[in-house]
Amino acid sequence: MSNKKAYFISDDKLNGFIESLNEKVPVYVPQRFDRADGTGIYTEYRPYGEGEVDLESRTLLSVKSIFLPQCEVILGFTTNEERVDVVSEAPSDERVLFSIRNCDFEAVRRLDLLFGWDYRDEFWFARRENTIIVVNICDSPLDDKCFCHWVGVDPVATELADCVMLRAEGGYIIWRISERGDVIIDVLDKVGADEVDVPEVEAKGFDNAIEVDGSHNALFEIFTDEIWKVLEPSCIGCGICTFVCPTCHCFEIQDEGSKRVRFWDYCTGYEFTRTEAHQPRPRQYQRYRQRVMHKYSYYPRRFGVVGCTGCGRCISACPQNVDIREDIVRLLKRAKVIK
Amino acid sequence: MVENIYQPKMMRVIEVRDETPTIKTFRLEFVDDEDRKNFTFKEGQFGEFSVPGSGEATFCIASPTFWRDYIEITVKEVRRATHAFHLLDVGDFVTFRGPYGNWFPVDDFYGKNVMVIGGGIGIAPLRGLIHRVIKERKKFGDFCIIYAARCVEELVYKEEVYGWWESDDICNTTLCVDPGGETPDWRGKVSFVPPVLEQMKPSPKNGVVVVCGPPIMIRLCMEKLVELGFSPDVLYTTLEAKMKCGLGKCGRCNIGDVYICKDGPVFTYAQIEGFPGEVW
Amino acid sequence: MTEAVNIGEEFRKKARELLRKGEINAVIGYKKSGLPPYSKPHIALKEDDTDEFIFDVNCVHNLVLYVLNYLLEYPEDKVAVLLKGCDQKSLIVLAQESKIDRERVKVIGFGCPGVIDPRKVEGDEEDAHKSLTAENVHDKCLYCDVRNTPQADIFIGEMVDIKPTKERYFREREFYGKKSESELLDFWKGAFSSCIRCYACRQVCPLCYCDICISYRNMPQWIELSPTTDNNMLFHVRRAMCMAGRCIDCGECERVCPVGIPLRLIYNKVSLEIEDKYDGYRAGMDSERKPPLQEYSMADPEDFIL
Repeated sequence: MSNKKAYFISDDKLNGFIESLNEKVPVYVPQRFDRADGTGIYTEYRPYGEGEVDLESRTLLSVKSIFLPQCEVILGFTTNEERVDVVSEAPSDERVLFSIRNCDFEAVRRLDLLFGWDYRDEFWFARRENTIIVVNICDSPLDDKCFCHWVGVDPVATELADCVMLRAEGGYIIWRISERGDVIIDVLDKVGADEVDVPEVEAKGFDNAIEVDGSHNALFEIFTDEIWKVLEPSCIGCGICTFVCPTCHCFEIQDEGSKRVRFWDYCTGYEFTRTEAHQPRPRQYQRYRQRVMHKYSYYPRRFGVVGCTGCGRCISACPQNVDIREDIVRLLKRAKVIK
Repeated sequence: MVENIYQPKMMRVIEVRDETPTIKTFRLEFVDDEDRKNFTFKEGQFGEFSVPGSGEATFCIASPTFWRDYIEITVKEVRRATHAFHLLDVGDFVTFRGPYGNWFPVDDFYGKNVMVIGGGIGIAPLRGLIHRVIKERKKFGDFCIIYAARCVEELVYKEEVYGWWESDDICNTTLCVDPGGETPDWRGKVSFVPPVLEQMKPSPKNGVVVVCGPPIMIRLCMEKLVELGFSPDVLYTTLEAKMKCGLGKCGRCNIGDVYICKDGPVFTYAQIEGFPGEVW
Repeated sequence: MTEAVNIGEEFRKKARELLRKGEINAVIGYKKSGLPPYSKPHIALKEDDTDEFIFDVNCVHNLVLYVLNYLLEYPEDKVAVLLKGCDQKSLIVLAQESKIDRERVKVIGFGCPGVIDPRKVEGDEEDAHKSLTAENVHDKCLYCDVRNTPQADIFIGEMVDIKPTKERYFREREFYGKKSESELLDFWKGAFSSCIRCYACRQVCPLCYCDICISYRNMPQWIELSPTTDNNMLFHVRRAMCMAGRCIDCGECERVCPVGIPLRLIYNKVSLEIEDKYDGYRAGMDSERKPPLQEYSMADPEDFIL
């Protein structure tokens, strides 16, 4: 600890700091946007300057949108009389992702396993490698919807980030972890942030956890259980929970004009698996089961980690107030993992 | 530029054959010689094919591995992508990614009695296998084909199928159509497949069976074969699901934690019995 | 939780009785969600499930959606459902469209003093959700004229007598009254650029029941699926056409939108047009009157047809 130093940047200097940083490397940071109907705001990770910086709210969409954009062109066709050529370009510019929470960061790392599974998805990994990550660690839960401590995420983990920041009285303490974080420290130096000691951080308030890890096989066993039919009748089959989720990675590929685009798709919808000949999941409960089981059973069975990082977005965003924690508890009870 | 796993290779249509009013077979060759030289696949694998601008669709490669210069696919017209295929003419371009997935373990079938059961367009994934067995006929025991379709018109690869039917020395072929689907001069059977199996009573001894067709047909055939004494691990089928990437990324084709595109499409009935559901 | 009207107890009793008698297979109502103060829909299949039923000002969901989904799954069953007057209108539309057999649905009605608009008090203290105030009341309740559920098979609690305080669709009249066409286009482009195409608006709507939505039909591909502003606008404008003469202004689409697109501004505008063109027709108000877009009349206006 002793030879490490940290910087304190006060709230009033924060914008100036991000702006200076943005001049060196493009910065993606959570910003506030007015909802179109004027009934409030939502925050989202976007390039700096599009809205007002807000680091303390839960963003509507997770950082998934930075690595797997909701919609991106993966190919273009150029046609001449002789032949059709396909051209593709992977993103390559370096950027800083500022103030991401450990739940999101962990989610991205867990998705690395999938996107690197046998075939390496360069769209994902190019963005992964080009992104300098500043983790905003949580010494207490954001609100009552956080449940990262259920699914094996350490809210104050610092090791794998490039820089770490922590909310402190009147501002943030930022310190460097890896070499790639130097660019941020340089700018902090330049804008005259005060040097302070690296704080000792202890997470508080992450209580009453239900340990989900390790129950994937027990859940798999209750796939055919009747409980699914009555588990969540309120689910309407929209895509909100999957779109806001940092680990929901399913996508659709379509040709639009001379471009091949991929964009997010959602397993809770009827169209997801329907073909003209076959619909393996005709009922809503089957689609809800797919989402829950994919996260808590299939993903750990396949990749060894739970496909959920407890960010709480699906809970806060669900229009019908479905709380996935309630359902997990009921399922684990049914599977006799907990009493 | 690093490799883009969604980047397809260009192919050219060199022959189009009408199979039924809604099914056509396309013979495709690579535009670049380099691609042609580097390309290998195994019976049962599939690829993502596309008419540029109309979206990708998943088809199995319906030709045997020893046809070196071209591959064939058989396409039933359903929605946008397949409709675009049906508008293609000789000389047009398509894109291809693949081959993906696992394959029929044909080498393991050497010395065994092989039975192939196809239904409708479900014969397409089996066609490569059938050609392979016929070519290496001496390496296998008895060879028997059952091919069923809803009606006579719906039989795919008619010429080939009638050819197999007439060569009793190579294989024992049974053709059948569903009741009501026969024509006045139809000489095959009028029946569903399970009763045919019941009648034939194939011996489970040293036998393997490969089934492909509509999900309901696969299930009923499998059940009947198990009843006849076949062990579920010698019963092979190839499953189909909506797929977009073919690479295990898009999260669409999984049954439980099994991805059809990566762990399949070829499964034994023993494996399928271990799936939690959502298969048929 | 404060109950807006004291029908909770009576409803629980009624639900239990209906299930006990066995003439009803399921009762649909509201229960508290795990995240107070919000409520969520609840389907009781057994007598003991009925203990969870509540009703308060946070019971905003239109339960007709759940009636429809339940009956699609179990077409032989009979359901009872607690319906606010506004929601009941969508049941009438569905019955008119032969999508629901009205005989299979027992409507439990009551006098509704109004519900809150959760978006208006989102993030506020729990107290802001407890009772109706001028700040949190839903716009639609200000001009509600069906407070006592019409065509209820069973009526519980007291009738309420609250007169509308605003003109119907006052927000839309005001909005469209003072904006020029180009301002409108800019406004909607801005609004639709944030649409993430989660289709929550479509899924929550009891009247959006097509097996395969036109936005997923690709022979031809009417609407491309990727969420660009143009595609989003096309999707929503097309949905407005679907809703013409059918939307009953339950406000669910607007409530569920995660990015706050003011969708009622579209559908209510279309309703105003229908009212204007077709002799004051209002969807779901009169089960005897044929919906104008479902019948042909020589007197139909055609000045707006190109």
